[in-house]
Amino acid sequence: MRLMKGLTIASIKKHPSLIPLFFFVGSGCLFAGLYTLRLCLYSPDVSIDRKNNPFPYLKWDPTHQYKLYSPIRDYSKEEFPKERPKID
Amino acid sequence: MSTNVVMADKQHQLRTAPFDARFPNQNQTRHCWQNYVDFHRCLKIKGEDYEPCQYFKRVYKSLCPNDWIEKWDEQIENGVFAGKI
Repeated sequence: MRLMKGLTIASIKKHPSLIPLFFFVGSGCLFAGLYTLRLCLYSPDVSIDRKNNPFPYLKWDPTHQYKLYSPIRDYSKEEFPKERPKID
Repeated sequence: MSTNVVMADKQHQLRTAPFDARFPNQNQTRHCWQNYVDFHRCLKIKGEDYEPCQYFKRVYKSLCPNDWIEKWDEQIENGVFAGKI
């Protein structure tokens, strides 16, 4: 099968400037895919198993950090306000 | 509602719903829903006159659009509310 120039190892050697292209486009695609997967599995707004786990966020305690980068809020110090009654 | 306090003047303290780590994103729809359901669960578990249950009521009154609150109140009266209370 004849592929485009640049998709076989031999032609990469002739056009090495394509390597950074593959690297950056590849890592971009990988990041997009992995982040979408993280959203599917870990986001509080997504429920995969609607019968057994309809509200995944109910299992989180107040110190659970979902955000990847949280410069303004230290989640380990978060707690429910004292006036909130315990009804779990 | 004790953690976010803004002094307006000497007589009134303005407060709003505090941060909840279970709902960290911009979409606070579920935050509103959960507090509405929790208020009614609190009334059911602790009894109708338990004052601390009003915490949930204050939170959902801050967060939820009034249309939704009226609609859900009607649904509860008619027995067709979708949440588990």
